[in-house]
Amino acid sequence: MSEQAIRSNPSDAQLSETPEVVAILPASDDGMAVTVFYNECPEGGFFDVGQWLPPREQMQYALRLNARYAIEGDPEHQAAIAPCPATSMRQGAGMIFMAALITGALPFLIRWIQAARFGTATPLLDLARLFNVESAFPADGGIPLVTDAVYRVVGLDPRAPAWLAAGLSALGEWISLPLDWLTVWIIYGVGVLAVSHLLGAHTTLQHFFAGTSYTCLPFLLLLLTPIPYLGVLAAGAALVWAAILYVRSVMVVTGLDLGRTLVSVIAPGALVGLLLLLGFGAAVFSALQYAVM
Amino acid sequence: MLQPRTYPELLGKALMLDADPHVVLQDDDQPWVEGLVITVLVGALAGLAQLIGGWLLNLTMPPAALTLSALLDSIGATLGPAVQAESEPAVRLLWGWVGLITGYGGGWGRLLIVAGMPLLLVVQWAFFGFIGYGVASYLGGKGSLSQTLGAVGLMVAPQVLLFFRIIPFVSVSGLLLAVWSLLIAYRAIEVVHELPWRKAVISTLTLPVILGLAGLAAYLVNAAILYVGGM
Repeated sequence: MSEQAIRSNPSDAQLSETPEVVAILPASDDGMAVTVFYNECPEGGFFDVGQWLPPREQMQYALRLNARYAIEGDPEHQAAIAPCPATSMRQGAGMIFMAALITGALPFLIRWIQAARFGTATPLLDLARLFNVESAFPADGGIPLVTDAVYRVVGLDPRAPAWLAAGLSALGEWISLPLDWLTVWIIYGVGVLAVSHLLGAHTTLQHFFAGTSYTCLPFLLLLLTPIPYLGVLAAGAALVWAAILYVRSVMVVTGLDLGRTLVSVIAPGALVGLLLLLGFGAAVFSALQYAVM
Repeated sequence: MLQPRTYPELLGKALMLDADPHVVLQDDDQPWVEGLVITVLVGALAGLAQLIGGWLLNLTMPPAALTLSALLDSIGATLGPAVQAESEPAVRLLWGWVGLITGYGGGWGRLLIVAGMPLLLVVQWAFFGFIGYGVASYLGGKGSLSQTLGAVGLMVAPQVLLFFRIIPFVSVSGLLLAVWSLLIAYRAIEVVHELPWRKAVISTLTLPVILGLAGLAAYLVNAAILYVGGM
């Protein structure tokens, strides 16, 4: 009789020596093999790659907007998916990083090729495009000094070969994408968590961040952004999809009702918007006052 | 006893807001020494990564001297030679600062980052440790100063993200580093002092609030002086 231990992580060797059997099921047609499930979490090494992503099935639940099963696991079929159903913050962070890398892969290649053909680094390519340097007819109405300076600077050759300069700068942009996603996840999450606690939520930091991490998955659609028209549609769809998933995830991890969840999710954004508006208003007011004087 | 081999895992778990690394440092025989060494090591490596990143940045860009020359030529061509001559010292000064901040242009000034990063992080660690310990103890916390300094040392963990700046043009949000560090400091104080979350939040946010108020006061005083001076 053979045994097959199903675990979600590859660090099997580090499991407890006396795992607890919680189910024995026929695993093949002959009925000879059995499947043994363990009801304890593997204590794998912290840096084992397999520990940094949630099981595929839980990601699929998230994409189907089933936030509860994604975050806490499907109680009926969980044993076949993973012995540790609750998503960890580590899995969430890994998923965000991986999703952002996948999303940025195609733009990275495109930017590399474009900048290499132009013979410069990507920031200078953007500058050139902003001031229409590639065109035979430069943009009108620009400030002469700035326009002239841009024309001169983008015409200079980089120290390294152009393909290397373009590649390194495009790589830098690519690696920045996961860091940007992590920034939004952590900073906006802290705001939402603070408001939800004020409204009576009871959750931990780790559980909250783990639960809300699935919101990154719809943004994989941003992979299509380089495609004209379809890219814009995909970006819009990703935004709506992610917003719905975020609200549902916050509902699950905080236990709040829909109304208070919406307030928790919207309030930090509204506050930031208000502050920006006030800042902009103050700047305009100062400029007008200066003009009158 | 110093255990540098365990630092990567401690830092990684601290980033994931686990309680374990804080417990490990709390139970260490010299927690504050571990906290100090972790802070200095991460700061030095982050500084080194940025130094190499600055060097690679220079490879991807045109030579800084040529770029500056092109900018000065632009001023001369569009605003006239007189303006160019008049503004050249100011432009060169500004260019020096841009080079120091971004690493573009080379020079030994970039070595300041390697030395400055650990120093800055040690100052941050010491302030957080002492003030966090003081407030937490006042609120009924049970941890010692040494344990607090050890656990709070892990708030340097998000600076690990600066290692990515070894690649030119990688941007790491300063706000992310600050907020994530605060979250780790909160966990450290919560675990070491066995405080409920509200008291741990107060202990963690005391220093940022003091700094924020001090900054606001300085801004208001400055604005008042400028206003009175302008009248």
